Order: sequence, then C-alpha cells, then structure tokens
Amino acid sequence: MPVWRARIKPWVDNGAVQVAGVLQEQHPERALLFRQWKELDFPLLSDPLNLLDVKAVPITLLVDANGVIRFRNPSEEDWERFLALEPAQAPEPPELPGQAWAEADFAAQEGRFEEALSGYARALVDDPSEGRLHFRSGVVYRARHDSGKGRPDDFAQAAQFWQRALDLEPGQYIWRRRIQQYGPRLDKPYPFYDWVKDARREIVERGGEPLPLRVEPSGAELASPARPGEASGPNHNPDPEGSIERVEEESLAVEAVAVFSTARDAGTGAIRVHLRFRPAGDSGLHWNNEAEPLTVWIDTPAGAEAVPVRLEYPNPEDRAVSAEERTIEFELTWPGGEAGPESVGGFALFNVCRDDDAQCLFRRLDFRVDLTRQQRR
Amino acid sequence: MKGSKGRMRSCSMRSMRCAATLAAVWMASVLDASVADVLQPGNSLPGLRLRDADSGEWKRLDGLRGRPAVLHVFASW
Repeated sequence: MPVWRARIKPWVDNGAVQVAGVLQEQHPERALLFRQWKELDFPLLSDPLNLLDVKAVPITLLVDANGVIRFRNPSEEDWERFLALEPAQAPEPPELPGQAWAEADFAAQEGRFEEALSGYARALVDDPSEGRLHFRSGVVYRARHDSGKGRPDDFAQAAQFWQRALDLEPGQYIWRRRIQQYGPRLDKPYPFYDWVKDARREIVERGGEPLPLRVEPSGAELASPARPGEASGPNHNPDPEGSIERVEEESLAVEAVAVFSTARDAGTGAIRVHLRFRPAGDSGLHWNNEAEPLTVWIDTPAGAEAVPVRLEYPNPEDRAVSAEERTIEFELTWPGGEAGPESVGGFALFNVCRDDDAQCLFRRLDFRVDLTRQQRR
Repeated sequence: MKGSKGRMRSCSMRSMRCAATLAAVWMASVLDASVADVLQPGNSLPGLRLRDADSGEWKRLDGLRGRPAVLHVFASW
C-alpha cells in the first residue's frame, strides 16, 4: 500500500475522505490488476487519451469538499493541514486545453475508432502542429490494433502519430512513455510491465484469482533497459546456404513496425522492429505446432548491431495447428550521429500444414523492412 | 505504480532497478514542478468526463465533492 494511502486509511475507513485515481496508460485494465495486487480499493478512471493534459505522473492532489485543489504532491505537513482545512469557495472550473475535439474524444472512448480518427483528421487539417491531435490519433490506432478488428498498418500508424506528437512537444513525458512502451531497450527507463507476473503469482498465493488482461504485455513492454554494447549472446545462422525451400510469398503475411528511440541526443541510435507473421487467409496453411518453432534470422545491416539476430516464437502447447498472428521483436543500434540503416532484412523458417492434403512443410520466407518509409527525425 | 512511493519502497530488492526508479521519480518531480497544467492549488477540478475503469460508466472528475478527496493521477508502468 502506498505511503499516502496508509496515512489516510483511518479517514477513508470512516468515510471522512474519498479517494480516486486517474490512469494515464493505454491499457487501463492493467492498472486494475495492479490495484488488485496492491490491495487498493479506490475507483479508477481511464484517461488513455491524456484528456487531463498532464505532462508527467504521478501527481497526488488533495481536494477539499467544494472540489477545490488545495495541495499538489503534498508534504508531510500539507497532509496534516489538509485534514483540518475549511473548504474554500470554488472558482469556475478551469478550461482544459484540447477540449475542442470532444466529439472525437467521446467516440474514441466509446470504441468508435473510425469516427474518432475522422474527427482528429479533420482537426489536423486546420491545425497540423497540434501535438494533442497526433497523440490521440496514435492512441486510437493502437486501440483499434488491440481490438482484433484493426487494419494491418494500425500499429505503424500509432507509432508514427506518437512520434510526430513528441517531435512537436518533446517535454510531454506521458506521450514519450507511450512510445517507449513499444520502443528499443536503449530508450527504456525501466521495464514497463514486468510486475504483471509477480502480481499474478502473489494474488494466486493468497487465494485470489488475478483479473484478466484484455491485451497481454509482451516483447518491448516487458523488456529491461539495455546499455550500449551489451552482449547479445551466442547466435548462429540456421540456413547459411539458403538451401531451405522458399514459401510462396503471398501465402505468409509479414508486417513490420519500427519504433524509434525518443532520445534526440543519445550516444547510440536505436530502433525496435516488431515483425508480425500469419498465414494468409486464403493460403490454406496453418502453423504446425508439433515441429520446430518459428525462427527468424536478422541479417545485420552494415554499421549497425542487431539484438538478437536469431529469434524463436514458442509453439502453443494446447493446439497441434493454429493460424494466429505471431509477433517477434528485435532491435537495431548504431553509433550516435550517424543516419542509421535504411533497411534491414532476414528470413523466417517455419513449419506449416496444408488444409487440403494435410501435408506439413518446412519453409523459408525472406523479408526486407524499409526503414526509410517509417517516420523518423 | 512506477514512480510512486510504494514502488520506491519495493525497489530496494535490486539496486540497479532501484536507481532507475529513483531517477524516474526524481525526473517526474522535476518535470512536475516545471510544467503548467490545470491541476494547480486554488483551481477547481476540471469538469472532465472519463470512464470508470471497472464498470465503463461515465463519471465527472468534478463529481468529487461533498467530502475531502485524494486524487491520484498515475500509471501502473
């Protein structure tokens, strides 16, 4: 339990003081699991669009009975004074910046993604340098991606809108963290969601059932920060001669999103690349989960380092075949001050089974990701 | 609750993580002091409508009236 919560617990328990939270993150249900883990009991309001227009968290406000903020990030003495204060006369509520697009904001929070994106796009025509519109557009693209009803480039669009927003307002740390959530390890201040496994274990140990997450944290969201030159471990090319038969390109869909470091003056340039593979809908192919797992090899571009260069996607253990999307992530780094690679290539080795004759095949797919198409500074 | 006092206490288990967390807290406090938003002492709470993370119901931030309140703005990362 946070120190401040323990301090006021007697007043909360007897009803003299109320507590609420406002969440500044893309997936609010993760904070519900956090609240369960920490055995907190106050209501939480979701603000993934940053409508509150705060630049950093945490912020603790002490608000009197008339709704007037009396202390912000209070000291020990402030807490004592607050509990003895008479309510102040309430001034007119302040106007929040960025409320001109309330209809789009409302649509975004209701899950009407197309309507929200259209609203933001119309506003951006009039004011293309408004970072809030770029950030909120990115939030909606990512939400549509997570909804399972998204379009193939939704995540890439989110990353590009967030990057544009941060370029316009570099001091906005809520926006910066949203990029860092999916960005390279060199740019991470800490692992964002590594606490989830500990939370689940501890909740189960005390006899509870952890609240479900709609979107599991993965890859970049769990990764620890890296330092330049960090060892990447042993790797070897699984098909150095290129002898494994290629699959027909249209039968396996590959999509790539590159998320750039938010650090402008870092000593090392960095990108995290998210590769998504899935059997094309009309290919008649399924992953074969009883053979070697999907393996990806990265051909390190000249002047850059790839970490890792060989990656594997573990097979699901509960199904012999499946057709889900599989995401694999890696990072490229290069010396600061240089332009960085324009593209990165590699190949995937995978086992699939054909629906029509049940024949299972081991195949290779070569790919190349054009990094110049992604928005970058 | 990265950056919260609760998180700071838990970071003593791993010193590098602790240092990173404390640095993030320090950075947030410096930033927080230097930026202007409407959540300042003397202001009323804004009349913003947000969804309850549990129920999905719409609630007004300025509905926190009638009793003293603690409002904590945070993220679980």
